Amino acid sequence: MQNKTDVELMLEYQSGEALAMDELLARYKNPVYHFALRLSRNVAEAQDITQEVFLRVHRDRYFYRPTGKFSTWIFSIAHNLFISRMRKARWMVLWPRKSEDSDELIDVESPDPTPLETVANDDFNQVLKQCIQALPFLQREALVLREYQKLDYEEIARILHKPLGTIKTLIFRARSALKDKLLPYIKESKGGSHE
Amino acid sequence: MNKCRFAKNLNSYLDDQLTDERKLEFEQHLKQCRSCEEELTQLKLLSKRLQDWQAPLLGAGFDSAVKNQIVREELERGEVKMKKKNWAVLVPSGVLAGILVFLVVGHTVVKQGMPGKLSHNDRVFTGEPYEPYYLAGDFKKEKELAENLVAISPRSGNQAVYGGSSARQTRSDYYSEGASLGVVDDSRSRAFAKGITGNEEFGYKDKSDLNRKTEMDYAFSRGVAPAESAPGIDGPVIVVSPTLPATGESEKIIRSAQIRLEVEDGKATYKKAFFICQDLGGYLASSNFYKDNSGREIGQVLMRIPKDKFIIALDKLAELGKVVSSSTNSQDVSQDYANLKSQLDATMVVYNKMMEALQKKQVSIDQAARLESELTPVLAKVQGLKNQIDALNNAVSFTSISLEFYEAQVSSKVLSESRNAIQENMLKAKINSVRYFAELIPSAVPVVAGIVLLVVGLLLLKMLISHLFKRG
Repeated sequence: MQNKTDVELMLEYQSGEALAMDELLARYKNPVYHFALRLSRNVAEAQDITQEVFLRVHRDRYFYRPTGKFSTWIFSIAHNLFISRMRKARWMVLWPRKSEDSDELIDVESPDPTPLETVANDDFNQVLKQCIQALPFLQREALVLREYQKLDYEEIARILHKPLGTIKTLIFRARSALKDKLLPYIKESKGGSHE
Repeated sequence: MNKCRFAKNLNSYLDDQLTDERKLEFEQHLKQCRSCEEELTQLKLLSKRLQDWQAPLLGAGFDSAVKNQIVREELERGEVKMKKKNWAVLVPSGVLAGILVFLVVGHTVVKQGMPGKLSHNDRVFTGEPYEPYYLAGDFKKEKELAENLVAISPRSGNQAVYGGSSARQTRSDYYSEGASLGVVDDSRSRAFAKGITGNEEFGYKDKSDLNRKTEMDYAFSRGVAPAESAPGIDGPVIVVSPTLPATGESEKIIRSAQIRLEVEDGKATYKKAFFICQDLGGYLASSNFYKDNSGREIGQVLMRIPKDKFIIALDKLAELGKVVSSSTNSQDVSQDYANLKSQLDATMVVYNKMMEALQKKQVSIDQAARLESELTPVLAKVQGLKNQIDALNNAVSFTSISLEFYEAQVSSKVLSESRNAIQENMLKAKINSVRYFAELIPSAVPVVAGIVLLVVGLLLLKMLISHLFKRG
């Protein structure tokens, strides 16, 4: 199982080999989770989305066609889930039924960081996360896929269903925005480390 | 802000997304452009710092949570349940169903016998299809007879298989005629029957069997139902030998049979019958193949089969479909043959004497001329007798089998054609309904739009009223 490619594993799962899902989970659960976490900054939400992504892989297994990389397909599922959740949240704002607190529904970020996050983050990381969260969703998504998942532009374009030129622009704008906000911190940190 | 025209390539260069050519060009530019170099350094630094955000890994329980969720979903959809059902329920129920079918089929076969499949030793030819002769009445009493004898329906006995020569008159016709004229007496008919079927050498167990057979044969020839004929079968039954009566050199018997089949596919049956005839060394004397008004294929084939392949041919033809009726007929022409032979011998004696007289030296010219004029009709008579004997030999050596077949009233072919016709009609109906609804759309759209507008108007009115009440 471990020597097989992602596509081979998925095709095996398609034909009824349940063990293939174990290997796919082992390979992709953390990348998908990190992707979700960096977009939502909410551990519970990210876990929920990751679980939903693998459930969709199971449900849509017969629709899978090995035309591209498996990673493109699975991140594309994650992207679609985020989009549908955002739409739902937007609709809930317009038509609130359960709660009058619309911020809770629009912003998927939880108000309080989890204990794990508190321990792991230092000052710069807090600023970095805030800056990334401040980016528009598509810029944030393109940047995360490039910087953390190391996907190339064409794959990102397929996942986000956007042209290649748009992806370049999104990444350029995201980095420019981050650079403008984080440069003082980076220089400070660099200067401090030299001293 | 970097105003350099190469600045747009900075990100692509950093992410290694440039082609080799453009990468080289950009690297050349970097050596000269200070602002680009500085910005690239900043971007590299930023990218490096971005990696500082390390996300925690998922716990070990995540995999099992996902798999549990998958199993739960499958259970809700019934997939897992069905899987268990396949092995736990379907297999035993399949086995039970198989046993039940086996018992039912076995019981039916034991009770009725295998339809359309008759062996050499208990071949039963009756007017009714698949009505076993020996099961119609007292089983024990008739079984003994059925083991050895062949029952032939009286109807078939009276049918002329082919017309033409008067010598080819059927035996029953001959006897009926003879009896009515008082020419044929009982002893002759018995002797005739004996001549046809022989005695012990044809498999009769004892004299009583042979006598019973002969009596039935004779009774049939007179058109009277024999007392011992198979009970339950309409009309008299003639019984002949169980196997093909051996026709010795001295015996001249013309055999013929008629077989009527209900088949699934008429064309295929026709082809198979042709090949059977060909394989057995026979030939098709005539054939007729057509479709009736309901589309059923019907055919009639008259085939000539060598006399030693007669029974084999009947067996093979019976396998082509469901045997509706079958009959055989025999005509002993030994007497006719012997008569012709003796006539020929006598004529030859006259001819030889005349030839001897003609060849004598003492014969005068007048005598010779008279002898020659008398010799000509004798020669013609000799030739005529020889031709008759040849024709008789030919009729004896090749049996005639008349095969009639027709497709079942509701054959699978007709069913499939009807099914196709229904499907076509349903498709047409669907197309017509779609067209009907498509035609309705232009008139339905304004109605729907009106309803929507009405609903929206009512909602707005309700909101306005509630707003006014709140203010009030």
